[in-house]
Amino acid sequence: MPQKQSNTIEYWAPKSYVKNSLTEGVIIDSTDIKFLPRNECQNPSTQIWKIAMWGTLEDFNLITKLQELTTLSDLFKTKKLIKGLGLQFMDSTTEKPIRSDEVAKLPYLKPENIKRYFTSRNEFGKLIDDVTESSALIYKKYYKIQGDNPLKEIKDFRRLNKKEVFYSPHLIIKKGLSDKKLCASYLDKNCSFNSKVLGVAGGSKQLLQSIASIVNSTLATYYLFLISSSIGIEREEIQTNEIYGLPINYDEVIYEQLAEKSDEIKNRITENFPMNIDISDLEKDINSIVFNLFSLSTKERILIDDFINTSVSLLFDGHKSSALKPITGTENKVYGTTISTELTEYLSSEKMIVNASVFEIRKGVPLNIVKLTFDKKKREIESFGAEVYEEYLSVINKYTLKALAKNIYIQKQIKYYDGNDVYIIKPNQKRFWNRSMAINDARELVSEILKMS
Amino acid sequence: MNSQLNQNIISLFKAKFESNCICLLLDAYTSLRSSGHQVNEESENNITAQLVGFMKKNPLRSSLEISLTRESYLDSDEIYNGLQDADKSPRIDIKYSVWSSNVEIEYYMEAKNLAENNWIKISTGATVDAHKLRKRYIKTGIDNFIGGKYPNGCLLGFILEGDTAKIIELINKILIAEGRAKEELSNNNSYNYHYISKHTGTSMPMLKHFILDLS
Repeated sequence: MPQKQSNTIEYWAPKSYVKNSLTEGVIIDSTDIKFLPRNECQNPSTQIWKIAMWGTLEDFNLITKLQELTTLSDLFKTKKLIKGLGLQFMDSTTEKPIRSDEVAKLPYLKPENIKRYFTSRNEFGKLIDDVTESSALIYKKYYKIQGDNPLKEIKDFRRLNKKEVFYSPHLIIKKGLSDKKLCASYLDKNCSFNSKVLGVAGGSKQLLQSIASIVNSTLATYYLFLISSSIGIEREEIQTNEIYGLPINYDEVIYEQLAEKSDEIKNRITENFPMNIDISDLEKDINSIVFNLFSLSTKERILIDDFINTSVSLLFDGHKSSALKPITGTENKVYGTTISTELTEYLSSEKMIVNASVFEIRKGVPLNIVKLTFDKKKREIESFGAEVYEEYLSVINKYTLKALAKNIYIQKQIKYYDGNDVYIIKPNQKRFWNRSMAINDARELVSEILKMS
Repeated sequence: MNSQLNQNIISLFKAKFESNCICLLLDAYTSLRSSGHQVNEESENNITAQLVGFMKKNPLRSSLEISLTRESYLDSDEIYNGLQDADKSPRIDIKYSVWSSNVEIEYYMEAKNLAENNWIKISTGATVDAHKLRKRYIKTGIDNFIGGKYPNGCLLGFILEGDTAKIIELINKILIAEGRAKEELSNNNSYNYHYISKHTGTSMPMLKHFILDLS
């Protein structure tokens, strides 16, 4: 027990697949070392550990804010929607099978055939298509089917939850992911599905389409990835209670907009079936409408978008993630503009403006540098030539790794203060130079400057 | 390269942090006044708690990521080393803090009740000695800041009865009587309800006072 307890607890969440050309071993980036508020860490029900594994303190604050809202479960109650997981096939533990001729007659939708937003009836199949070999043997024994005679029909189940969720209009939410994304789909035809899928029925088409759009949005992905007890830990699956706990707002006008976009997606998918058609433009619109539904600030939107593009990409793509690729000149300028605007806004002084200059970055350079200048006048963002700094940056790079133990290194980031200038030097990877990183760096700079004497 | 940021820039940031804390306080004061809560019979702690409540709800606080603690212990290294009794550690009414990485920055406010005339509390029938309150404001307010017992921060005066200008005049009379005329409170126009006092050669050469009328 330390004599003086710090208000924060140091928490390391290294991403071990990030390699460095200078050394072998585990490189822990300084951004993977988090300082968490001790009082929150002591809360037995806190989610801060999972959030901090992939996110920052800003993410924790945004998640906390979202958790003050009503949840999907509350919306189900107020709108009197029926919810329940799909059916379970008989297995070796089934003692009292449940018979349903009604469910047996319905078309069946396999989880892997569920499409985001809308699933066409062309994706439907039969119950028998999803029965495993071992389960088929159990059914054959139960139906007394002899020898090589095939199992043709299934009418009995281990578990049947609420049958109402199989009837349209209904909405289904997959517990697993589709192409690294959450997957909710509106269905206008009756069908059954298994217990890896949550079904919702009883509401209007517009309401169900809107809920599907919200679950498919980047905001829901952001929220559920950060609080999920499975994703990024053991398996890429969302728990039912986590889906029920998704924060949600209700606004009839915005729900109308979401349903319209959902219809556009449905039309595009239907018209182009069986080809896979790009709906990214409509998804972008939906993400923006969902941000409006939650009245998120510009900074909060940036935080979410960058989390999806950086942390989710790192989680799924590892060392191949685009977040590890070198930054471009445009990205460098966006970083420079964002951090200088943040600092200027913080000071809100007519006497002091923060201007940024960026390095003309090239692919092979290991580090990138951005210079901030405290000035009396606003200037357009400037670029400074590669030739002067490139040589120095390669030398500096050798000193950014600090050996902590055998084969364990910390990748340091450098801030250098010189009169009216501040130099920020970090590895030349996209994840360190996005807009949310600029906002975070501005906040850290303010703290460091406040601590100066 | 001198590896040091220009001192004027550092000062500007420090002033901004202080002004953010003061803005939160003054917003909370306005909210408390608008709420119609009568607090003139309350203790300093109860009034402070209500102000902290309003500050915590202020969206500006969350956007500035300022944490608030009421009744914060100011533990010294001696207390951490077990050389002094932690029960005797001084406490200050409001602590504002921001942190990023492992850097934490604090600002403190100490509150004292004030009155112009002696008056009787309706709730308890107890007489409030206005002169004692003003003496206490100097002894355990101003002197704790300038003596270094309280760190970086400012003083709050909660006026429960009487006129602000008159109370300031009476505090200044005590300071003059104690031979501390140079330390008189004077009005400052940078904020509403704002006064300053100068204490050359101490750990707080200039102390800010916010005198809030809650009568």
